[in-house]
Amino acid sequence: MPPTGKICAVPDAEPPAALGHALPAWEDLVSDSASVAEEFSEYVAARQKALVRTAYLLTGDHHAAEDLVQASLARVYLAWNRITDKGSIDAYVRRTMINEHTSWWRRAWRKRESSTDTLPETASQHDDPDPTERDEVWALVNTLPPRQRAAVVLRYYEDLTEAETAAALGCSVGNVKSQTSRALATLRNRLKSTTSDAEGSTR
Amino acid sequence: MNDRLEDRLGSSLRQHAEQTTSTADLASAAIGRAQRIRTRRRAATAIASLVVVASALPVGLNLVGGGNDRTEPINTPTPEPTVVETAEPPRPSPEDVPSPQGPIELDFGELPSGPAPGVPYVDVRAGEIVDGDVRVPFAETEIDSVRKVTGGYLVNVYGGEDPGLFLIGDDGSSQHLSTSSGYVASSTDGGRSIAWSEIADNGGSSTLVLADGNGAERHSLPLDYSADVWGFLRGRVLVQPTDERALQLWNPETGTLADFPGAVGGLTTDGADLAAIITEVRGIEERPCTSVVDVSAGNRELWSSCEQRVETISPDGRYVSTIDAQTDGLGPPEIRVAELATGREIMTLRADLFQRTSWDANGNLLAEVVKDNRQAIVRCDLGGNCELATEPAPYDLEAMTDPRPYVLNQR
Repeated sequence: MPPTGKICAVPDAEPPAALGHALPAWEDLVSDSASVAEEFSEYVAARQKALVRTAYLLTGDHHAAEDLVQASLARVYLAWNRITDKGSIDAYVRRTMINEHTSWWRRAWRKRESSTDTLPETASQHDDPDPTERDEVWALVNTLPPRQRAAVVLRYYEDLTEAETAAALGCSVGNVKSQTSRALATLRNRLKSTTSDAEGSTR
Repeated sequence: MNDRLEDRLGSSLRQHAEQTTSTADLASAAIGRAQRIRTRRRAATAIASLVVVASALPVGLNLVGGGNDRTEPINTPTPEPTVVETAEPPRPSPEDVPSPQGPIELDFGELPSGPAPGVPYVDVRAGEIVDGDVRVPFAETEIDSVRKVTGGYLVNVYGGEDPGLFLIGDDGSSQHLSTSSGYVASSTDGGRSIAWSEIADNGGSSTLVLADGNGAERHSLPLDYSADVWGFLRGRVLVQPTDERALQLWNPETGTLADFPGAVGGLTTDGADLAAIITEVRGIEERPCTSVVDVSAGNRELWSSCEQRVETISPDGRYVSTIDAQTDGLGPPEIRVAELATGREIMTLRADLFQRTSWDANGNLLAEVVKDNRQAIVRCDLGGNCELATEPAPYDLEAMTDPRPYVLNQR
């Protein structure tokens, strides 16, 4: 049984135009057209770099980040015709990525569908862009549970407000506060611990 | 301390993000992935919706003729016997059915060739609806479903220049019933009743339509929201709003709508007392949790599963076919047969992809099976003995348009 660890309310990612459908809408099945593919490709070309960066912070693994973005974009493509406010696509993709990443933790099929064979629970040495510049904070961020990690990425990298973060996580603002607070407390305690260990080892 | 930690955190995240680059063609990869998802979704969702339709109407219930429609609530015990089909041969009890030892891998090269499907299907390459010795020209290629009704064959076309719902006569005549290509329902009494939803172009409203098996409209109900028709149930029509409303039941005789308690979606029924409903949908992958309930006993739950989703029901109402609840196209490509009353698994079939499934009059499972980029209709008995009902034909999983060479009938 995979870990559940659901902290916030289940946040189904839905297109901004209010899906709410228990099953895929029929439009999903017939939405292909050259213009949709063109619009979609233009969006990805403009936003891929930023999306992969956020995904990397969520996963700690470059290949997993690209796979996460790809999986999320596939869902966006399916819903493209129903996203009437194209200005809100970033928010939709972000929410989709977070949900997708959270589900990866819970899903055995993660290994089958992704391009990597390991869960992104911790950053491996070779995944770091430059091992010589690894920092303690980043190493500890990689140990956070996915929802706490998502909260700190959205708050401290994306600079989202608590309300925006709540929307992305499908949580209340209060939950975002508690998630962030818990994450910071965890980081603080572990930093203290690693500092103590380091000091102990030099004595 | 907090401020310093938050500063360090933001700085660390930015530093590592900025060192990340991506040159992969994610747009093309995502489109390809979406198409695979869509292909499998089509199989999963279309099967489910149309199956609901099939098994829900008690035999002999002339819905459009009026007079026989039961008006009791859905959870009220009915004195009428549970009769789904009349021409079924006796079926062995599940205990008599030898359950296969393990999953059955379907390989076309290993399967013997058997007789043609004993149900209607579309041979897309030949441009024909095939029903035994009857062959009716039908040249559309993007077909969701075909089913036999009293006026001929009800075909739902979702693509091409002229999509919508068509009634094709045995002589090849065509009647365009609806320009909406959404879900459609027909009754199991030989297709004497048809229901569909006309969805407005802007998607903001719809009209429910009930017609006889010749396409003549009998009742309609305008709605100020969009909804799909999912099937017949005890003389009523199951209606699935496309917003967050619950599953509904439309009584065409009274023109009233009522919520189906506890259901966010419908799957299928045995035509009398047992129904498979979706009680919740979990997660981004939209995993539906299925409950099989006995509506004659206050909606008593017989079994439930968030892992398997009921797709079709056998003509005698004793077995169900199920697929993995992960219906976004990424679930395992297998289909299972289980006892309807208990959920006990009878057999599991595996291939590259399953689309529509159906049952023939002898209680054999029929399935559109894709293996190694070929599709065939395969027939399996409950002992796991399978054979080809059609010859395998090319099937392109990456195709932009529907690649199905065969479209199996919808019960």
